[in-house]
Formats: sequence, structure tokens, C-alpha cells
Amino acid sequence: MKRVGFWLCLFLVGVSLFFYWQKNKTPTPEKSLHDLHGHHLVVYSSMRDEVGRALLMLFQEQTGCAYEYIHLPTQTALARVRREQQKPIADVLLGGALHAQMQAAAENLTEPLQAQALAQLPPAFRSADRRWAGIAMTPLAIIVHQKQWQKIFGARPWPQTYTELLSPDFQGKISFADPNVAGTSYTLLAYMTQDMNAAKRAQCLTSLRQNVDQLAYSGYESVERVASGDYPLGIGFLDDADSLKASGFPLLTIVPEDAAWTLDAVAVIQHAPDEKAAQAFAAFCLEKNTQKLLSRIAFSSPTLPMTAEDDSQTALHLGKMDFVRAGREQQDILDTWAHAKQDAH
Amino acid sequence: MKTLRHKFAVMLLLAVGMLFACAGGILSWGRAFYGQTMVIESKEDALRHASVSMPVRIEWQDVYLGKGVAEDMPTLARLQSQIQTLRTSTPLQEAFLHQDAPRLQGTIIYLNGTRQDFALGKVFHIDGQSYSEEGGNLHALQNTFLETMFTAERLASLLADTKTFYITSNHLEESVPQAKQTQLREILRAAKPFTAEDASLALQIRAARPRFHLRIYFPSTGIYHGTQAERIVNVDVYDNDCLAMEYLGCTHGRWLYHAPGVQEVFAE
Repeated sequence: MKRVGFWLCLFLVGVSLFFYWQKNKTPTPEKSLHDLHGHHLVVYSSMRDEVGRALLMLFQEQTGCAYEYIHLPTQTALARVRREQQKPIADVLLGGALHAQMQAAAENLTEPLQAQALAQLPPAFRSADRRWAGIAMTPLAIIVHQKQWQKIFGARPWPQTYTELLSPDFQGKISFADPNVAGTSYTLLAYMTQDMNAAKRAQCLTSLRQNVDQLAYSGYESVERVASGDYPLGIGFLDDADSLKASGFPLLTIVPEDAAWTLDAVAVIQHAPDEKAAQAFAAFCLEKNTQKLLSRIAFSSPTLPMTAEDDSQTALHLGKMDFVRAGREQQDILDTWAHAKQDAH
Repeated sequence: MKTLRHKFAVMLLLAVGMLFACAGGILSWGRAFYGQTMVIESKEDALRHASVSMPVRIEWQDVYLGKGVAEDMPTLARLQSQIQTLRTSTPLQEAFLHQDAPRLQGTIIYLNGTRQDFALGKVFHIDGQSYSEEGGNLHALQNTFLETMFTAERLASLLADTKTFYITSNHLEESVPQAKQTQLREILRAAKPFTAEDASLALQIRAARPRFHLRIYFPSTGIYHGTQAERIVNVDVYDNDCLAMEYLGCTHGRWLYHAPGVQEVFAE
């Protein structure tokens, strides 16, 4: 009888230990936003650098959570999360082109979000299995440096569609980021070629490659090169261009009909070292106030429907993006781009 | 028969209990080491444990921004980690090397006193090897160097050598007179960067419309052939004597500062 008692005690201790660990591991959503002193969040962000930093600073101010902010282009961030899969260093994957978030979800690199506000997002702005949530939306614009354009092309009308950018008249005149690194450029390649067969895709990418000179490292750098007058023409996300426009650079932005677009999304990395803080940060990003603020500082559109009143015009221009396909065909598209590079030279 | 079944049930219960105990134990194991203090007995002991490849100072010269130094641990660790990442790629063969002048040249000084020179441009040269851009790592390293050294104080010192300095409004650029440039230099020297306490104000500023912009163009070096963007700094000036500086040669975005008196200088 004594022996049974001993084993029973051991059983109870074991069960208690297990549930104690579980309790400490799982975040408590109600409490998570209030006090995160002693927590440390590591974020891989591909949002525009100053926007990502501002978001983290505000989160720290509201919760006391310390953070480390690592800014990386989309493709690099995804590659890093993949590489660290067995031993994650970061807790949150923030922003960047959406195909990367989808790819991360498909590869089980991220885990379900607990934020209650997730259900309020339109289905197109969140993953069905809760692995990412859109926090800001922006279309891909054609960006023109007005003075440079006038100097080079005179009174010629500005291009109104992405296809017009393939014209040989623009050889060496388009600022573009390296699609192997930057999600901005990859979004354009995936969108333009999503309904093409292999031969047409190769032809399209070769034409574009011929018009592109030195590749920039990120979508934002590509826009900076238009703002500086290095190039008369470029392709970049509208929010990046608008931010430089607000700083007085003579930029003109054209959002084509049926424009390519992306979401800056937030995701919690699978087995994040500080999952509690990561889940709290995701919930914070989806708060109505954060979204409103984000749209003001980032020049992007919020994803919560009740705050989108100012952006209905932009939404009308959005095209149908097959993000799943963009993620799945990434290698093929990038290989074709690499061949296009050889053909173009 | 009944006793046998009873014994079997007890054994099963015990097995499940053991399983939970083991799971709990294993999962708690990893947590046990956090927050513990490790005592290192002496300086010699610490040096024995430390890697000789630990940098204690990195100094460099940038063609546009001048001389930079990193001595604080977070910056050194960040730079070292980015350099190590670059060095994991396959070095370039001589035939594929770009012969362009580098943007940045410097020296890494290690704990044991050894020095290692490097150069960063379209490729990264170190220890007789050259590494190219792969996955954005080279650019990320350059961004870190530039972010580390770009401050209002540095901009003030650079203004002394800069001939092209404009105030812009409605895309029109108007040259800034020498007297005002001198005043601005003083203001920039005394400017205080925003801190974590300014998070709310920072958000207001980022959402606000600047009153005017200052545009500074660094002179061409003649040796290094970079982009025009690498020669441009934009400064947005706001109503409440706050300013936002952005260097178009890196992707950091805008740095915010309190700069009392900046509006007054350009009041008219």
C-alpha cells in the first residue's frame, strides 16, 4: 500500500511539473499587452526600416518589453528563418512581401497567432490557419522622378502599366532591386508572369532585365535611387515612394489598374525563444489604434476594415495576386531571372 | 484475476506518471540555466576563456562620411557577426574581382592586439580574400557601418566642406547663405537624438508634415564612383524645432533630433 502511495505522489508531482511548464510557456492574452518587463523580443523585419523601428519603440513604451530589431530584405529574412529552424534566434517575422510569409507558413516555420482581432480581418488579409496576419497593405507603383523624366523623355506620357516598362526605350533607365533579395521586385516578377507559360515568362523577364541597370539591395533603396535622380523611373511600393515624396523629392507615383500589391504581415516564429512577447506583439500590431497610427506614419493602408475609409480608392486598383503560386514558383522565377540576366548581357 | 487487473491498472497509472515526470523534467531542464551568474576568477582566466578573435575596436574611413570608430560591444558584435557571415561564402577568384575603388576602408583591432585591414565596396576584401554580395549580406554590412557613423554632429562637421547646400520648398532649391550654414552647424552640433522616452513624439513627427527641407549634396570624390543617392542627405524641419535626417546612401530611413532654434534660422 505504501509503495502505491509513493508512486501516486510521484505521479502527481510529474503531472504538476508538466502543467507548470505548460502554464509558463503559453502566453495569457489578457495580460500579455500590459506588462512585459523582463521579456526580450527579437524581430526580423522587412518593413521600411524607420516604420518597423517606430512600431517596436511604441510596443516597448506600452509594455516594457526590450527588443532587438534586425532589418533584412524579405528574401534574406525568410532564408534566415529557414536556416535557424532547429534553433530559432528571432521571435517575430515582420513585414516584407507576402509570398515569403505564406512560404514560411507552408514550411511550418511560423506558428498560429493567438490575437483575437485576427478574426476581424478580411480573409484575404490573414492566413486561414492563423499563421500570419496583414497589418498594412500597399500597392506596387511606377515611380517617376519628374525632373529627370522631363530631361530624358521630354513630354512623353508616363508609363501607366507594368508592361509598358518592358519597352526598349527604357533600357538602363529603370531602378530595380535584386529579386533574389528584395520582396518588392520579386512581387512584380511573380505578378507579371503569374499567367504566363515558361517561354513567355522568360521573354518578359529578359525584356525587363535589359531595362534594369545596377540592382539595388532592397525595394526602398531602389526608390531612393529614383528620388536622388540616379534613375528617371523605378518600381517600388507606394508607401516607400510616398515617404520620400513627403520629404520633398520630386517624385510622381502611378498605381496601375489591377496593380500588384502586398501586405506587411506579422508572424510568430515556430518555437520562438520568447513566445509570450511575440504573441503579444502580434496582438498589438492588430489593435485598431496601432493600425491607424501605422497608416499615418507608413503611408500604407490599414487592414482592419473599420479603418480603411481613406483607402477605398487604392483598393479599387488592386489586381488579383496569387501569393501561393508566387511562393511555390519562387525558385523557377528566380532561375528564369538569372537566365534573363545572361541573355540580357 | 481481479487482483491481476488491479495491478495492471496501478502499473499503467505509474507508467503514465513517470512519463509526465520525465516530460516535465526534460522541459524544465532548459530553463534552469537562465539567469544564473557565472564567476570568472581573474582577468587572466577571462582572457583564457575569451576568443583571441574578439574585436575590441573597429576603425574605418568612408569616402563621404569620414572617419568612424566602433568600440561598444553591441556594435562590435553586430559588425563582427556580419563579417563572419560574409566570410562563410566562397571567396571570389581573382579573375572576377571588381577593380573599383572601395567606398570604405578600415582596420579591425583584436583583443590580443592583432590588426586586420579590410575594404568594402562592390566586394569585401579581408585577409587577401574577396567576398561578393550574396543574399544582401555585403550591403547589410555597409548599412551598419553607415548607420553607426551618421549623426547630426557628423553632419555638422561635413557641412564645413560641402559647397552644395540648399533649402527646398515645392521642389525648388535655393542655395543657403554662408552665415546660415554656420548657424545650422552650431544647431546640429547641439542637437539631441530622440530616445526611447520620445516614442510618442517620434510617432507624431513621423506623421506630421515638415515645414521645409534642407538638402545637402556631398562633393564628388573623383575616386569612388557610387550612386548620386550616396551623396545626398535630406533634413526635414518641423514646427516644434524637431528635425528628421535621412541619408539616401543607406536604407535606415530618418533619424529624429531635437534641434532648438533650427526654425528661427530659416524663419524668413
